[in-house]
This record gives sequence, C-alpha cells and structure tokens, in this order.
Amino acid sequence: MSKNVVILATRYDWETARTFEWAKELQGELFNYTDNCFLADVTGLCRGGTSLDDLINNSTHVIFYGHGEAHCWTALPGSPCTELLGISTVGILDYKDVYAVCCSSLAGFGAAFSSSCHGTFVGYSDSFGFHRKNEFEFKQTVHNSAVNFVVNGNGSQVVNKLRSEWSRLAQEFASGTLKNRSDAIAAGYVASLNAARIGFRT
Amino acid sequence: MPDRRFSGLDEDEFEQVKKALFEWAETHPDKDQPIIFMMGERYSARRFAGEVADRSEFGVSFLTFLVEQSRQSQEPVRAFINRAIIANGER
Repeated sequence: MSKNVVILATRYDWETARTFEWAKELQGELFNYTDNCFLADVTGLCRGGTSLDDLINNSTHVIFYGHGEAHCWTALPGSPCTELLGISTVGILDYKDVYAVCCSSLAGFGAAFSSSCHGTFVGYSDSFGFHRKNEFEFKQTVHNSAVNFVVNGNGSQVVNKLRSEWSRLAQEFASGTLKNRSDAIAAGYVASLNAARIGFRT
Repeated sequence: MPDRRFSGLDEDEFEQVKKALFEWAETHPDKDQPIIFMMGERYSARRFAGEVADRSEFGVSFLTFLVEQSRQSQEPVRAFINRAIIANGER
C-alpha cells in the first residue's frame, strides 16, 4: 500500500515556530518510510480556494502541527480564529489517517471525523504542551510516534505506545535520568498531561 | 469552574510546597519568561508558582502529579522542588 503523507504546519508565534521546525525534521525522517512526503506551510490558508483540497486529495496520511481548538485546526489566531479545517469541512479528510499535534482537536473535530469519515484520527483532547528548555525530549516523543503512525497505522497501538512514552518521560523528569534538568518537575508534569490527553477516534 | 479539590497534601505540606515553589520561581534565571507552552497558554516560573498558590485547576493538577511522583519514588515532595532550585543555580 502506498504511503503519501502531507504535513500541514503553521508558524505565527513562538510555539508554532518551534513546532514548524519539528514538522520539517519529521518530513526528513518520513522520506525513509513513504512514497511521498510533502510539507506545507499553511499559515493563513483557509478553505476559500482549492489549494488545501489539492494538497490533501492524493494523500493517505495527514499530519498537522499548530494550534487547535476543540472544533478546528487553526490557520490564523483571532476571535474567532481562522479555521484551516473544522467540523463543517472535515469531509476533506475522508479516507485519510490523521495525526494532530495541537490542542484539543480530538474533542469536537475528532468526533466529527469519527461520524463522517473513514480512517483514524489521533490527537489530544485538551491542551498539548512542551517545556522550552527540554524541548528536544518532547519533540522526539512526538516525532517517534508520528513515524510509528505512518509505518504501522494502528491507532490503538500508536496511542497506547505514545501514552506510555509520555508517562515514561514524566517519570524520567521527576525522578529518573532527567531529574536534574532545568525545571525537571515542571517538564515532567507537562509530559504527564500529554499522556492523559492523547487519544484516537475511528 | 476549575476543580479545586485536592486531597494529596495537608495544609502544612501545601504551605511548604508553595513556599518552595516561590523560592524556585524567584531564583529562576528567566523568572518572567515562558518556560512551558501549552500551545496557547504560556507559563513562566512565577505564573506556575502562582497557579499552585491559587489552587487553580492547573496548579491542583500539578500537586496531584507531585504527590503521585513522591509516592512512586519514595521521596518527599520537597525533594523534587529542591532539585529544581539547585538546577536554577547551575545555569
């Protein structure tokens, strides 16, 4: 089975500037496991034209890095934010396997995916976080999981493994090999929140 | 409404943890700069300590994590924060 991955990433503030770099690194790794892996900077891109459809149409997997809310992935911040994709446009993801590295989108957006699309949706049910000085460990945990998702494709296995990895990282920061790092207990706490919030829908 | 219930520490222990966290925050080299990004919410060391002192949902959740780690590793809760204070001085 062919694997055509599109990575959608935004960058318009400090957090997304960092996760955009994570996305670039993931693309480099995924070249080893896919037929094609395309990275698109979708900052500000919304569903007014066909660009997003064109990007997603021929993909088997869609990975998103950026900000999210319960009902959408965010293209630009604001009140309300500009949606990249949301509940009303979730159909574009039909027959795709979806991996969201952002806050909250598993809740409403993931639920809409589950009721109207075929495929698997992995994401976080509440805020996703990372620690600034210990960013490498957070990035690597996400990166390994995203590769696992594309290679193995089993949502349950991917989420169980990722939950276990976030919990392991939390413990490493709290009392293990990383316990003397800057703000280790705070970093461990954030990893534990990620462990509690990761999930999937089919 | 945030869930402010917390049963893992008694009031004296809570006060000790709060005091230690403020010491960590005040000795932090970037005390007012964000150290934690929750993809939209940013927490400096000072804000982090304040969330615990206020027993916000975020702060209470941290205390629960702290108590659980203490139970698992058989270390006093203060030990985790002491390490963070020492790490502040090493940067």
